[in-house]
Amino acid sequence: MNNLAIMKGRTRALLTDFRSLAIIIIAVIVCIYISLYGEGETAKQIRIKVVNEDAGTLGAHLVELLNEENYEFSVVSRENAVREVAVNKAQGMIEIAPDFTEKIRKGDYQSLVKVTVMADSYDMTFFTEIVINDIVKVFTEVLIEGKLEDAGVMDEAYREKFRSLATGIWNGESLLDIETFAMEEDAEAEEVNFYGIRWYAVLTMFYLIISGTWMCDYASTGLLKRVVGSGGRISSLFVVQMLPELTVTVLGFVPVLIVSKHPDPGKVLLSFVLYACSTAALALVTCSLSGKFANLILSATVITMAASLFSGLICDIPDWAAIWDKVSGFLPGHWYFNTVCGKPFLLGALIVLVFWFAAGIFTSWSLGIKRGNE
Amino acid sequence: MKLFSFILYDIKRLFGHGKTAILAVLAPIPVVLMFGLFLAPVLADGDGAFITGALCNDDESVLLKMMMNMVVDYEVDKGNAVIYPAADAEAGKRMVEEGKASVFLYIPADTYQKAISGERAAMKFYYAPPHAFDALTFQSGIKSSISVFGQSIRVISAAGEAAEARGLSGDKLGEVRDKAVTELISVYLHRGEIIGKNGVFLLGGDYHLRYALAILFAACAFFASFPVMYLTSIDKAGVLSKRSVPAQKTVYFFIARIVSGTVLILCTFAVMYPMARALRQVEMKNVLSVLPGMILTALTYSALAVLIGSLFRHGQSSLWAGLYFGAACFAGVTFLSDKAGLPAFVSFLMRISPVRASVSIFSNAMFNLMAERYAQDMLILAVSFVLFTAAGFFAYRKRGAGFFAYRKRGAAYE
Amino acid sequence: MLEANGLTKSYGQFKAIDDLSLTLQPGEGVALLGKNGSGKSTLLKMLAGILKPDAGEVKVDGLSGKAAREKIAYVPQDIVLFEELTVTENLYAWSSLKGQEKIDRAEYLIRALRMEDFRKKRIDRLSGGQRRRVNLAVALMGTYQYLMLDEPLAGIDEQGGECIAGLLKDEKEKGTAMIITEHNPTILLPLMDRSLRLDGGQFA
Repeated sequence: MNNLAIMKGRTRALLTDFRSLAIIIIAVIVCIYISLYGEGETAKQIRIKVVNEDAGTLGAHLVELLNEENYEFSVVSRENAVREVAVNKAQGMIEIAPDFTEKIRKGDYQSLVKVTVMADSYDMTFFTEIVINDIVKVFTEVLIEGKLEDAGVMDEAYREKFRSLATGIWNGESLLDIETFAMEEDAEAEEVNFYGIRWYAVLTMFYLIISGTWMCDYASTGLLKRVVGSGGRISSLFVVQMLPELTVTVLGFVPVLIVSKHPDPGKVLLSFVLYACSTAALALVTCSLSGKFANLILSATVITMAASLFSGLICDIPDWAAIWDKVSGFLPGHWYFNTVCGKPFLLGALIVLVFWFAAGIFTSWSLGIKRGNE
Repeated sequence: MKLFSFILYDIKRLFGHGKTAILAVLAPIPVVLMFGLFLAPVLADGDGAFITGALCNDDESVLLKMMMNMVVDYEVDKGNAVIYPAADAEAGKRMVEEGKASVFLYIPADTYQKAISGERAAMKFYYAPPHAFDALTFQSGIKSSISVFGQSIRVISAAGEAAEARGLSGDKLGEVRDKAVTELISVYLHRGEIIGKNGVFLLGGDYHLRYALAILFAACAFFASFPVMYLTSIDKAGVLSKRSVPAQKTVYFFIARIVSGTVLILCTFAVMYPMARALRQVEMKNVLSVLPGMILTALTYSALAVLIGSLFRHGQSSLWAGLYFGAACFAGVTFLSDKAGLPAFVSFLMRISPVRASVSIFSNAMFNLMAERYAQDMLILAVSFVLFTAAGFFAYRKRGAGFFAYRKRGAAYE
Repeated sequence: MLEANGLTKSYGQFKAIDDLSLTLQPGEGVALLGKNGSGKSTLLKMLAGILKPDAGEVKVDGLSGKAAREKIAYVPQDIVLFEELTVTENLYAWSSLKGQEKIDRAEYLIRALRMEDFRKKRIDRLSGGQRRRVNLAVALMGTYQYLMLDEPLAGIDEQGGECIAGLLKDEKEKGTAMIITEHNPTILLPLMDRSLRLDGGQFA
């Protein structure tokens, strides 16, 4: 077989198939964006509507405290709030009861507000806690004012002073804190980020699998049987055909790596090359088993998600899942992730590459010969 | 033949075309399992206590002791936690190490006194790594409220000092302070009631899980529509353009395909729903509100799939289009739909997006039903269904070469 | 009588059919010959109403449009079937799509084309020759007076060819006119009353 001719043909096919090439282009753009801007997001953009029906003045004070929090609060009428939440212009609403001030002044804390939250966002988890805490702050101020009034030491001038004192404390650090410790030293999660280069690896896996329709054809048509029959070798055919795709993914990785500012770019690049090669072989297994594109599009998604999740590439795996760390050792992403975390072990990556390469060639060969005989 | 028989044939075709439909129905199983694995310890504790903990309180303050006892009693009574007393800090840590408790809270001596006198005081929270997920969620919940409790005590203390300077006697001050703290603790012990709910900590702490579950539902439904796109494209290029099918009968094809696609997507839901229920307890009464949302989502996604399939002459092209369209829609919903300050057009697109509406329906209807949002999302889905169906039928007839639909250009020259 | 006048069809700059006219009498058999790419399939599709001509028209017994097309059955060169359904299901489904439910007709075709052995098999599990027979049977499920057959014997063995020829002979005897394109029409020659050769978009 003329390997150079095959590689040229494959390169041409790759560069003219914009549908799959677009994935890697999008991956580069998205991952550079993540590396540059993706790590400073807060919940500030979450929109919450506040309906202040309080007949007294404390409702407005609560709104002042809420405005210090990390959400975008705005006071509107009840109808507007309901409409805005209904049409997804807001993710939640707080209705301050008409007797909010009256109840607090009486020391009654039941049903002071009604909170409606749409689970529209990942950033809503502690929202309810924040609202309750701010109400407690209002309650505390009124409670102390009341007690000092009873003791006869509260007048208007002091009230102002007291309120600014309280505001200062609310905005400052708390003196009562909880320090958290994991019981095993080595299980403590290191702060690893670099989402740009991690997610690029995830998208690379998706790209390598989904652009492998030619690998589907290897197994589903009689092509392999002909290759073997004419003295060709499946492994060299695979390597030659895969080289252009690997080159494209590595070229795309370089700008993402530069932008990520990883302290050890050389090792990460080498690790990524090994990762991409192993992933290409994993793609061969997936494509051979899928047989046709309609199946491939489903299996590519599920396998990419599973392999990347277990390797820790998509998001940090929970500390308790030590078992994942061991089990995922056969996945290419495991070793790449370790390198990104500053724990490179290239021998492991090489062993995984050999494993997947052998699995890919064997799957492709066995299915190709079997289907070629049908 | 009645339309019904044709629908049955189409269902058979859809499920019989390779293994794609079967794959689409089964795909949610690994996806939901992966999601579940993140929650494994929570699930393992399952119906029992949320957390098993140990507590050692070395603080002699009566108020703090009372507060801790009340919190512990409340959580134990509710079945949320099993709390063992630990003799000292070392014993508590040992219990975590030996797996007898998953967390241990240690309150050092004079914690309360330090806080009230303006010094920093820290409780110590130890957890076993295998329980980090639930332990840290629990810890995050109590940390913010303890921290505000600390601030409240500081406000009381600072106010007391100022009052003393204004002539309040020491005895009187102590009395005022103790009363204020007692009332404050009482509020803390019933802090859920402030918003009309029961519980002390972690009120609504799993919104992100609900959201993720809703996105998984919608994404798996969209994936299940891929075989519909594929088969529709194949039919367009084959059966519908190479044989004489009377125009009125192409309506049969069209309706049958939307219905069979809906059945396929509903099968995916049937696989997902019990698993989702196992992961996150969904009350049975909410099944009734989720069901119409599921049916309308299935109809809308099916009509969308037929539309995409009708626009392309090659099965692969329609799948690519579906992939990019779906990726764009779901990325938009995941990263943009909750953001303020977007360009008006993008913001409008997010609001009318049927994908967003379906995600919202699942998160809303499965857990806390807000009728106005539900109605609005159902309306968006219904309008989308009508629009996709109309556009899909136009595309289907236009290039589908029903008996009347001559193709002007691009016919295969054979 | 089927009459085609001034039929013209171009693909870009290439004129596949150029101002071509023909008539087909009831019960007449015509062999349409020509080398690959000479426009045989294009002409048949235009006659059957599957493809719109750039110019010209087709009339059947004085009728045009939908009424004319209802009198014509077309057998495409490609295998166009519901691959996921069985042979019987295909026949039933196509019969109903043509507006009739003819179970008797389906049974007759299954027997005439010797498909009894594989009538319950899915199309995607049949051999090429078997699929070709089903492809023909599906087209013959409706009512028609004119048959357009585009290479009905491609990939068919001798035995299959004989049963197709026998079936077409019966059809012809019932008064059905037919135009057949076939590269090697020996087995169908007895059915042909005349032949037309296409070359450069016109009859040679």
